[in-house]
Amino acid sequence: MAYKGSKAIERELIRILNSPQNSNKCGECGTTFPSWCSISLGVFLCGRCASVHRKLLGQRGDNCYSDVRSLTMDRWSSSDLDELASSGGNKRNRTTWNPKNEPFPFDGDEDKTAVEKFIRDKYVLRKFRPDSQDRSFDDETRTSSSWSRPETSRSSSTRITHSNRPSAHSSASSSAVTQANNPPLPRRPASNVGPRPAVFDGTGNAPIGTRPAVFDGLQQQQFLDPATGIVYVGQAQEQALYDQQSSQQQQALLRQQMQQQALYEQQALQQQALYQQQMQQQMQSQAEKNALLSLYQRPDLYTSAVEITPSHPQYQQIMQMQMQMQQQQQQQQQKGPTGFYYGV
Amino acid sequence: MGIYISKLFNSLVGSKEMRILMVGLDGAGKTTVLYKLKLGEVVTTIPTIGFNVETVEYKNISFTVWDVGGQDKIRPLWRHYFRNTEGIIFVVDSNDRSRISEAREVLQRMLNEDEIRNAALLVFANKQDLPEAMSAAEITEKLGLHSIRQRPWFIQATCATSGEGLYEGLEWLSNCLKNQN
Repeated sequence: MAYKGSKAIERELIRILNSPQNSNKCGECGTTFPSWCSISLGVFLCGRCASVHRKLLGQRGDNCYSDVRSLTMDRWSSSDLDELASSGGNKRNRTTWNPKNEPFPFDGDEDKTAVEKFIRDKYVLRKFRPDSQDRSFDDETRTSSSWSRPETSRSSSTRITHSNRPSAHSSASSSAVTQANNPPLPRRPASNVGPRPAVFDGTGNAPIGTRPAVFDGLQQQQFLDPATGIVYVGQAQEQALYDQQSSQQQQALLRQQMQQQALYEQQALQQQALYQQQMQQQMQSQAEKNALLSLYQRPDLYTSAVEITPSHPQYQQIMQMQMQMQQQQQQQQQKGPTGFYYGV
Repeated sequence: MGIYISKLFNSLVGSKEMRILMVGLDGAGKTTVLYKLKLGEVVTTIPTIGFNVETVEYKNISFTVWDVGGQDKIRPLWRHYFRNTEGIIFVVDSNDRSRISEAREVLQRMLNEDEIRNAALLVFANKQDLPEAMSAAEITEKLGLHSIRQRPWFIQATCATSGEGLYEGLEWLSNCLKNQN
């Protein structure tokens, strides 16, 4: 190999880097001023992509080896330069390894796993190539001539990894055959996904995938989000909403008093306490239904999600209260809306 | 003067320090070795520009390990780290047969430097997990380690990603330090 001076090599590298097919960009992510290069894959790389290349493709003798060199810190022989110049640069790399134009995962700046997955899919698993297992993209959109062009002009000596590529796509007839062999793509089953009306009747006949909201009668109130089927608990927001609703201020006061009373009498007289709690729950169920309705217009007020399962210690109690509430609601619906009851 | 006082103090108290320089060709796994020793986990490294330095505690000896980038044009910078270095770790990619002669050249040139004439040489035959990896004996031969006379040397087969062999290497270095004193 002919030895060139370091200045000449540097000039040649800059010329290759600025040529139209490379346009001074990282061939993976498109960052300008790449400082690394993979000679074997013929692609310029930024520091981040170079590190991923070195980690995933750095083993010589692998199926796909990436010979990562620094443009500034490594010594380049003129044969290296020739190999790089004849490789076709970023553009050829893209048409060879990513003809599906799969986008680069830009959210992987700090966590490199997304970038690593992209590089692995691209070179090791060859997912973005039409001869890969995944045939989800349309062969008909590309003409066969534009596809076979890089195939014929490739120098087969320098790139071992390309020689074992099947040439099934060089003719239009074979691509038509493979198209016919493809099974039809699975269709999404028609279903009523999307927003469903909120269900508040407490009957438990919620649509599949959602769980009924359960009132446990304690201080916390749970809300069902019909879109996700998650039950939310929001205590502080609930209080704030009571304040907003002036018509219920008195009731909130009464409720607090009764809560204190209930707590006190739990220690003293059990029977009386039970009666008080029942009273309290009746009041509470109405009050919080209104709070619940207004919360549905403000989903950002949701706080945390809980789930009531049959293994919950108070499960039986909760279900009993739910039944009671259901009966009360039916009675109220027969009577018509009362002062505290509006909206449903 | 201050160095001698601190050495005396350290020999009395018992905790010792050892300054280690870790070099090798680019992509041999130096930074991976360093952070496997330091953090116990495999980090995704970027090619080192400049150096990384960490202290690793092992058997009451704190090893200050300097990990210097191995790209061709920054290898001349290694000599700036030679002063007061008691041990050199030379990391070799056992899988890379095409560059083992380059590694030999780099190693032999470095060992001629006067400032590290007393430093112990530890060679990590890294990437032993790969199926095509050369054995430690093969690397000993290809690096010409048998021709080294005036310094203690040791070769250790390692796998930086799993951590195999790393502490065995440090063990040997700590024994060297004891023999010196």
